[in-house]
Amino acid sequence: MMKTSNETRTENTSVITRKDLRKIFWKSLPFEISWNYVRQDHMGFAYSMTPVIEKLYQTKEERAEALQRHMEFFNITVYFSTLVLGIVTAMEERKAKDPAFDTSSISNVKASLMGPLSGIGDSIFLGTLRIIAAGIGASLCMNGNPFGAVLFLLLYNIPAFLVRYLGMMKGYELGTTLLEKLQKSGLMNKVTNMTGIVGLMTIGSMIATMVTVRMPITFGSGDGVTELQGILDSIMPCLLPVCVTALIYWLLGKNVKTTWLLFGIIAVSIVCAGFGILGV
Amino acid sequence: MIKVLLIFLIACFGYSDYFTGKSLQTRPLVLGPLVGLVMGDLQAGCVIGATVELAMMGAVGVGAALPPEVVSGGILGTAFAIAGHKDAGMAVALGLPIAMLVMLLRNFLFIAIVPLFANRADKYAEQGDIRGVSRMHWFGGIFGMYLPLAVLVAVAYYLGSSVMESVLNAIPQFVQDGLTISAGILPALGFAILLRMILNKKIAAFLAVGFVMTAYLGLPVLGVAIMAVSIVALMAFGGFGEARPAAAGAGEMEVEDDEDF
Repeated sequence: MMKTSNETRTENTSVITRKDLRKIFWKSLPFEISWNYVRQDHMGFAYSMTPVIEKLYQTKEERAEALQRHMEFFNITVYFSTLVLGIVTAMEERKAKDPAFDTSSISNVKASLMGPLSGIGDSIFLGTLRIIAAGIGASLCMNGNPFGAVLFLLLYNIPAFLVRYLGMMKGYELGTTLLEKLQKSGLMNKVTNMTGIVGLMTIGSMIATMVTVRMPITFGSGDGVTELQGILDSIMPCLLPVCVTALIYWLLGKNVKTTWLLFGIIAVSIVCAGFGILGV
Repeated sequence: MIKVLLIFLIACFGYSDYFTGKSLQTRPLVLGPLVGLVMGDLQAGCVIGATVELAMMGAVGVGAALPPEVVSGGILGTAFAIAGHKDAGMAVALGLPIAMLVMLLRNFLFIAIVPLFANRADKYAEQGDIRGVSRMHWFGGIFGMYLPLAVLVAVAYYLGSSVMESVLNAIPQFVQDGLTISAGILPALGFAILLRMILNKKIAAFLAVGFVMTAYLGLPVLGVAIMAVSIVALMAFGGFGEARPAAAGAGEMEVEDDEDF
């Protein structure tokens, strides 16, 4: 497949070769080095996509658009990052061929995959495989045998790297065949809203699970003590996380810079912790 | 002094986990024997490493929650315990508070420092500068997180365990709490940015549906996603058969409307 790839670079066949996919695979290894609290793995995703962007887009404007698209919030159990990268690569390839392709479906697919895949990935790898591997390794190390450490790394990483590599290849194939099918069945133009629905629902769910704001304020004294958080919870669960997200969304709409929001959140958190308005 | 350098190298190896795709050389089980080798007692290193591993089994990054920082805790706990001829219990007792302290520092890096590199990367992305974005990804990781933490472990080893404890006590509690609180709020910023991208009036209600499923019904994210895919599948392929052709038609119309928008 690799050797024919260059000769068959026509309108209808794929521009992305297995070699490119392998490049993305290697670039996805340091996926989490620039992890941060705001957009998490966003730079890792953009960095992993650079071979694709470089190959598919030649003009500065196209590259800027693609880079900015992949600088959005992203977070995933890293071993599954390649699966999403593969699917997104197929979508970018389609977008490069067809300028009418709605790019927001790319963002939607990323948003809707990250939550569920992280849920599965965390429980398979960090919750199960790691515990088994560590248990076996630790039982050797307990007896003073340092090879327990080596065994632990092997037991964990062989499956992890296999999943990562297969995710890259299969994700791309899946993305390509799926997109072709959708186009043939005429569903393609509905896809943006449909992926948007899945994306929005998972974000809604993630706001409830991943954003935490608590007010430990109490009223009254003795037996008559009432917790404000209890009242808020009875109005609506996760009321504060929703309000905070809405407020930030509104501020973003007012063109407030993310840097200011970032430091604003830290400052407000520390001040509120000092006055006991917000709690852990 | 050679030991300090070697401890620094072990820390570099531990944190290199971030470069090799979370391959878990961060764990005390792996670092313990290495520290034992440096401290001249491989056997003790193995046993302590395994004990600290079991004690910190729960400390692993799942989702957006960040656990105690196991590299510093594992290395320093093991090193101080072997140096003081103490047992594995001592390593855990020393290692856990250190891991908590370094977690605070690492969270500070994740909250305040690495995003600065991200903002530079945004500027490069605007200009379509692929190499600039790649550079910020690496710089953010190496200078914003990797080197500060590795150096910190070496410095902490050099200073000794009693100094570490007093440093931990010197940070006001409300600052520690404030950082923890902001770590809970910051994902909201990420979601808000994402929503600015994909939210439109036609489908905005589904945000509320997803929220309600988790907030009120307690469904995990995966459950919500499966539900979402099912809804979409119904809209795409459903139409509820011949029994209610009118309703199916109406459903179709709604979807069609969205595209005109």
